[in-house]
Amino acid sequence: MFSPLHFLGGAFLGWSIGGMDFAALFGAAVSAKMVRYWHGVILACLFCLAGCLFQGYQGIETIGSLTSQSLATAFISSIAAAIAITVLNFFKLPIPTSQAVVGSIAGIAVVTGTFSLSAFGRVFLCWLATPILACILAVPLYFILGQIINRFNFNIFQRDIFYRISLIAVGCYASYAMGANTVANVGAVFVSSGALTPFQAAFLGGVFILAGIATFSKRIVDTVGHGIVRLDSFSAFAAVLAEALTVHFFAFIGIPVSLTQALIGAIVGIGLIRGVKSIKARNLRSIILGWLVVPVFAFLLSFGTFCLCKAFYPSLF
Amino acid sequence: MFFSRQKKIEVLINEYIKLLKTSAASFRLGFSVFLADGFNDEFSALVAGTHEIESKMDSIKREVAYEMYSKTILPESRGDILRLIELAEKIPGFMQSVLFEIQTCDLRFPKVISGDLSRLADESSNAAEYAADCFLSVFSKKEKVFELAEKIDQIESRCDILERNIISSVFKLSVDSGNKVLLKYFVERLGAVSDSCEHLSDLSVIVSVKGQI
Repeated sequence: MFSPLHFLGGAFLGWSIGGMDFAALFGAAVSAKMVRYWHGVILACLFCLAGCLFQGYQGIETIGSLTSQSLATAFISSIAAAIAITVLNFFKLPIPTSQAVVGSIAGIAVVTGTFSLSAFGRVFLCWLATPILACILAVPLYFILGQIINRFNFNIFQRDIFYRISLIAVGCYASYAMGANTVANVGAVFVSSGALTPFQAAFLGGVFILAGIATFSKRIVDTVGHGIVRLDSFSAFAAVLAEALTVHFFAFIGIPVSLTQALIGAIVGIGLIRGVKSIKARNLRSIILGWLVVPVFAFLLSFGTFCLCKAFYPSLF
Repeated sequence: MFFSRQKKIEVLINEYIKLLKTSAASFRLGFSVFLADGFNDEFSALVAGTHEIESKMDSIKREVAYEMYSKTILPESRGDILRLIELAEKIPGFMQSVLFEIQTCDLRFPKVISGDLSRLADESSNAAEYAADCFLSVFSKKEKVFELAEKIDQIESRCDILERNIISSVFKLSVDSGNKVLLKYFVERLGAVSDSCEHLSDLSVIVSVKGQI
């Protein structure tokens, strides 16, 4: 039977995703002091909700097709993913939220025997493609945008105005793409369990994500802004644009991918242009390690929790 | 909102640069009045005027720094702008201290060096005016920065030669050693005006180039 308690898992997951992903939207702009933290939060909330409502349903259908869920399994998978994300947020590591969600869904699917190798394989391929595509996209964007900006021959005041407007615009676009792409991670399980329609799931998921952006996003902003490559405003602009284009592309084909993976792929691309030495390899290694650990951690959490619950409360399933 | 605050910074910087030019003109006049007539009321008024200008520039610098760092204004460039202002601030500082030294140490220049001193003060004032233009060009016509920096570099070289000539003339004079040392320090301080102009123009060039990707 449906109870509001079941949404606690979704709320927790949405909140943790919002807290993690804000850094990939306005983190660089906030670190470069181009946007105040709270201004960034407000803009991210507005555009993220728009993305959830206008385009979020596509990803919801894909994630929903990974496995069939009951309300109880939806609750467990949401909680497991949220714990995985929150724990790594405490270590200030920008981890891929989609991988935590898919890892936790996979944990339950293995136990229930509904694991679909082809569906999971498709999502897995997109995970690999995300940072690579963002990295590849960032390189020409960096050169093309650089050429355009050089042509304008901005003076010091005009340059600041230009970068401020660009970073705000690209942050808003990335927020929209994030909403369109990521809300599926929160709402899809409730759609596949039949508790909500895709629109309701998109709206509710959006609200939970906004709560995370507003209350839990400050911790990780600096890791993204300075942790991998010291980003100047122009590099931040090119990186966030590459990230947003990548994530929006995957939102169009209905596959939720990680914003942080896209951003880090783009930042690495820019780091390669500026010279390999500018990349802080140690930080990058720990971030990539996080990418590997997160789905496994979420998988084990949901797998273990589900097995325990099934053993002690079989009537729930 | 952002842009009106930024406009305020632009206005303050323009005012700062105008004052830099005014202080250069005041210094030039003060020095020539002293060389022509020695101490008189006009010279004292010019020394006081130079000091007043320097104080105003100091207040503007503090206001610009406060505006830029207390609000999120010009985050990309504010470090550069503040460094430019700090270097520009040294120019009226040296000019003021040259005039103060004449006044407080009751300096008398032997005739044999007064011609070169006049030329050095003139060249230093020119350098200060060009430095003000160079600083201004960072915010408007970037191409002019290089042209002006080149001119300042040439003036600074001429000032170095003049400074060395004057110092060697001082040590050939038949005055007591205390006076020689006092004059040497004075000439070095006067020479520091063009040095600080060159530092400002060098940074102006770097800041202009930095925007290129």
